[in-house]
Amino acid sequence: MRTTLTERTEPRPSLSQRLDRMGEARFGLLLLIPTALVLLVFLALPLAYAAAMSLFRIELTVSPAWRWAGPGNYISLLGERAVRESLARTLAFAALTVGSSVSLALGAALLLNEPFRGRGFARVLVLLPWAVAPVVAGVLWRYLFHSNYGLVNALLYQAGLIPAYRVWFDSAPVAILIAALATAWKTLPFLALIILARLQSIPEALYRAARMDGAGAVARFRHVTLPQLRGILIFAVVMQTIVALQSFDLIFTLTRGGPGQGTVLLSYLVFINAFERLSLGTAAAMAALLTLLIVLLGGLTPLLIARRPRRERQDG
Amino acid sequence: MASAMPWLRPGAVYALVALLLLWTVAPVAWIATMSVQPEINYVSVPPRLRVEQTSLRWYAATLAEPEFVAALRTSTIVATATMLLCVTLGALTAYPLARLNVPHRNLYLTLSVTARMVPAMILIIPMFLILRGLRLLDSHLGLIIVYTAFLLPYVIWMLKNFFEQVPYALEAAARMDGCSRLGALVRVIIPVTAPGVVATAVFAFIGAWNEFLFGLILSTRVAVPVTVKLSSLVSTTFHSDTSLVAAAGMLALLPPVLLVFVLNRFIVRGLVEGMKY
Amino acid sequence: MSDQRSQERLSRRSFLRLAGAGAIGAVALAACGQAPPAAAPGGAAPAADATAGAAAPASASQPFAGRELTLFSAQHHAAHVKDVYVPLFTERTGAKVNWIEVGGGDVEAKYAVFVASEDASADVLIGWEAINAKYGPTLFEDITTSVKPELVAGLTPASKRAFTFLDKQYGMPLDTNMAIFMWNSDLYKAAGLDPAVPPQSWAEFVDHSKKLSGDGKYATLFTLGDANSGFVTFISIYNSTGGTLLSPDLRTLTVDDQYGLMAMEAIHDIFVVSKVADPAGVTVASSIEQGKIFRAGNMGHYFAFPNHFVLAETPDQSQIVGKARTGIIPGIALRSGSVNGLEGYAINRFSGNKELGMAFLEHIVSPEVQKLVATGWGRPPSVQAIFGDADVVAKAPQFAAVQEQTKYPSPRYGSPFYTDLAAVFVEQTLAVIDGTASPQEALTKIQADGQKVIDDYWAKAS
Repeated sequence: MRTTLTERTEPRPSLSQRLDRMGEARFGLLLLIPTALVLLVFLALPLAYAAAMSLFRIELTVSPAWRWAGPGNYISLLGERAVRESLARTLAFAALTVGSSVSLALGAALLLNEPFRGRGFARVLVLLPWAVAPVVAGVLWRYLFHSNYGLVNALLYQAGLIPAYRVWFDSAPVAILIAALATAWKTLPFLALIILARLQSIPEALYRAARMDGAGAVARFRHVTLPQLRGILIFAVVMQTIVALQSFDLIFTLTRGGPGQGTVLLSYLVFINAFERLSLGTAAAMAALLTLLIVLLGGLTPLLIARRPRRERQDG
Repeated sequence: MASAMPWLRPGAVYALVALLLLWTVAPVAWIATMSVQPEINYVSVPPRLRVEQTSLRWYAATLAEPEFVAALRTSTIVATATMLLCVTLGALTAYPLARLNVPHRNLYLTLSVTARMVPAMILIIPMFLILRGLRLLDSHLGLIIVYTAFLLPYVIWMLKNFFEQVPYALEAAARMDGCSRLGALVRVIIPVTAPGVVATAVFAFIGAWNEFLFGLILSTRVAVPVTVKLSSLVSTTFHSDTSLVAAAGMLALLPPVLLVFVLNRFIVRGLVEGMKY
Repeated sequence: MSDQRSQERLSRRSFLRLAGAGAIGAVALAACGQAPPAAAPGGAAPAADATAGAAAPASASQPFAGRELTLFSAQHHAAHVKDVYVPLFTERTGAKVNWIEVGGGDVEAKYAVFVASEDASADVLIGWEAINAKYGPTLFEDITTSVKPELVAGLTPASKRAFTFLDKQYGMPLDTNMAIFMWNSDLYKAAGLDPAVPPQSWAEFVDHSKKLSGDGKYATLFTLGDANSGFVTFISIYNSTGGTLLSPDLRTLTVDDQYGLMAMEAIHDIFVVSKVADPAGVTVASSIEQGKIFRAGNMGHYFAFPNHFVLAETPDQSQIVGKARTGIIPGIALRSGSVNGLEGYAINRFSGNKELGMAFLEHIVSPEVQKLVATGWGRPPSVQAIFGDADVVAKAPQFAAVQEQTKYPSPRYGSPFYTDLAAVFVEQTLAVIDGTASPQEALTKIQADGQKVIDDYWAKAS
C-alpha cells in the first residue's frame, strides 16, 4: 500500500499521492468542502428561499399561491404602526438587556477575579444558567414572577414590602424589564467568563507601575483595569445586542407577546406574521429588515475577528 | 491573580459572591421546590413560602410517560451527535481558515456568521420543504444535520480562535521533527487547545439541546425533542398539574447542566484562557 | 525526504480517517436512535389510498382493516380521544391510528407549515371555532356535500355553526363546550347570599360580587392574558347584550353601538369601579388557571367551562368538593349569553386517505363516543339527542345548566382574521381596565381599527 516517490511514473497516482502534491491552498479548500456542502444546502438555500418569499404576496388564509409584489412588502412595512411600535420596543429591550447583562457580567467577573476560598466552586455554579434552554428559562422566570405562586411575590410579601401579591406582567414596561432580566440571567455565564479572561491577562507590570507612580487602589482601578477592559466590554456589548435582537424563544414562553402586544419584539412580529397571520411575504420582508438591523449593530464583530489574526501574525 | 478591587473587604466579597450565586441559582431552586410539592401548597392567595408534603411522585409520573422519556432520549441522541459532527466538521474547517493559505478565508467566516444573523424562524418553511424532499422529516438525522448547519458558523469561529492561539513555534518544532501540517493539527494543536475544543463541544451540545422551534416544526412523533414536549405541557389549556410541569422542566435541564458541571474545568479554562482579545 | 513525504501522506490519510470516523460515528448514533418506522412520517405528495400490507382482509365488520390513519391533535385530548375513542375506532373499523400531538398553543404554527407545504402527512386534524375559519379554505376539506346529512341534522346548532364558514362545512364537532356559570356555595353562604341561587342578571352578579370581594380576595376572574382569551372574555359578556358583532358575510364589524357600550361599561365596572374582578386576570391566558383558583376556594364565582365542574368534584384536584354549583350566565340585556369553546376534527384536504378520515369524523359523533364525551370527559356532547340520554342525565348534572345555556347566543366569531381582530379588542379592553381610555373611546378605536383589519383581509383575498 505504501507508494514512494520513485513510483511517480505510474500512470494513475493514488489518492494519497494526489493529496501530498496538492498545494496548501488546494488542500485547504478540499478540507472546506464538507462544511461548505452542509452550509450551502441547509443554510444558504433556505436563506435564498426566504429572500425570494419577501418579494411575493403569500397569504395562506386565502391560498398557497405566490403573487409577485416586488418591493411592495417592504414599503407597506415601513408604514405600519405595529412595526414602528415593535421596533421601538425592540430597541428598548436591547438597551435594557445589554445594559443589565454587561454590567452584571462585569461585576461578576470582577468578583470572580478576587481571591477567595471556594472561588473555583463559584465559577462552576455561575455556569448554571448557560445550560438552561431559553424555553425553560422563560418558564422559570414566568413562575418566578407569577402573581399567584411566584417566588418574588412570596419573598416581598413575607418581608412586608408589599401589602398583597402583585401582578407583574400586566404592564408592558415591567414585562419588558423582566424579559431583559431573564435574558441577562441566561447570558451572564458566557459574558462573565470572557470578561474574566481579559481581566486575568492584564499584566501585573501595569499595576506595579501605577503603584510606583503613587496611584491608590481606586485610581489603579480607574486607570489600569477599566481601560484594559474596554475592548472586551465593547465585544460583549456587540454580542449581547445580537442576542437581544434575535431573542424569541424566551418571549414565547415568558409572555407570549403580552400583555396585549406589549412584549411583541420584532422577532416575535415575524413569528406572528408567519405563523398566526399566515402572511409569509410580509414575514420574510420583516425578517430581512430585522437582519439588516442586526447586521448593522452586530456587524462590527466579524471585523473584530478579522483584525486579530493579523496582529497575532506580527507577534509570531 | 492580583485583586483588581483591593478596597473590598473580604466580608463584602463573600456577601457579594453569595448574592451572585443566589441570583444564579434562585430561579432553578424555586422550580425545584415546586416540583416536589402538591400544587395547592404554592397556589395560595396571598402566596406563602413553605415546603411540606414533599414527594418525588411528579418525577415518577413524568418518567413513567413513555413519550417524555422518548423525548429525553431524542434530545440526548441529537445533541450528542450534533456535538460530534460540529466539532469534526468545525475542526476540519477551522484549521485551514486559521493556518493554511486559503484565498478569501476571512470572507468565508464573515459570510457564514452574517448568515446566522437572520432570524432562524423565517427559514423554517424552506427547511421543512428541503427535509421533506430528502425524506428526513421527523428523524434524528434530519434534526442533527439542521442543528449542525446552524451551529457550525459559531463553532468554526470559536475553534479558529483557539487554533490561532497556539504559537507558531510549537507547530514549527513539530514540523521540524517530520510532522506534516495535518499531523501537527492532530498531535499538537488539538491537544494544546483541548480545553477550548471541549468548551466548543459543550457549546454545540447545549445549542442543539436548547433548540425549540425547529424541533416543533420538523418533528411530529418519532424525533420530538424534550424542549417541544415541555412547551406542549406548558401550553396545555385544559389540564395541567403545575408540579408535573415543574418536574418535567427540571428533568429537561438536567443533562446539559450535568454535562457542564462534569466538564466545568475544561469549559472555564477554555473560555477564560482560550479566548484572547 | 521520501520518509518525510510518506509521513505526511500517512498523516493526511490518518487524519482524514479520523475525521471520517467522527462524522460516521455521529451519523451512526443518529441511525441507532431512529425507531423502526411504523408508518411513513412526513409523506410528500398525496399518494393513492394506502393499502399497506393488508393483514386481515376488509370485511363488513372491519371495513378498513389493514389501513392506517394519522391523527393530528392537541395534548389535552390525549386522555380521552387517544386513550378511549381511538381504540374504539380501531376496534370498529380495523384501521390503525397514528397519534400526533402538540401543545394547544403550538397547533397554529404547525398548521401554517402544513398549508405552506401542502403537507399530506396527517389525515385528520383538530379544529376549533377560532381557527376553523382561518384554515378552512386552505387546509381543511370542505365536507358540505360529502358528509351524511342525518349526522349534521343531529348536531346542536352552536356546534354546527362553529365548523361552518361562509356556508361551507369544514369538520365535525366533538362537543358543544360553552361557558356556564359556576359558584362556590360555601362562599355564598359566608357572604350572606343564598347558596342555592345564582344571580339572575348582570346587575345582581355585580352586587353579589361586591359582597364576595374583600381582604385581598376578588369575587371573580376574567382571562385577558392573550389576544384569544381577552377576546373570549369580551364576547362572553357581549353576547348577553343582544347585539351581533360581525355580519354573516364577515365584512362588517359593528361594535360602536349600544350593545358594545353595554359590554364595555360592564367590563369597566367590574375592573375599575366596583373592583370585583381580579386584576391578575390580565396575565392569565388559560381558563385552567381560572379553574385552579376557584378550586382552591379563593373565588366566589366565574364563567366556567362545564368540565371544570368535573374537576371541582375530583378530590385531588379540588379543595371544594361538593361545594360547586352550576347555572346559566347572568346576562346584561338578555337573560343570558355565553361563548363557545368547542372543538372537533377536520379532514386534511391534502390527505390521500379521506374516506378513512370521514369514517373517523362519523365515529366521533356516534352515540357511543358522544356518551363517553358527556360522561367520561365531562364536556357537553355535540349531538343533541345525547342530552336526553338517561345515563348522561344521571352522571352529568352540570348539563342541565348547559342545555339551558345553549338556548342563548354564544357565537365565538371565528374568522380568517381572528387573531388580528382579537388583538384590537384586547388592546382597547386593557386600556379601559388600566384607566387610559373610557369605554366609549375604546369602542370608537375598536370600531376603526377592527374594521380596518377586516377590510385589509378582504383586500388581500380578492
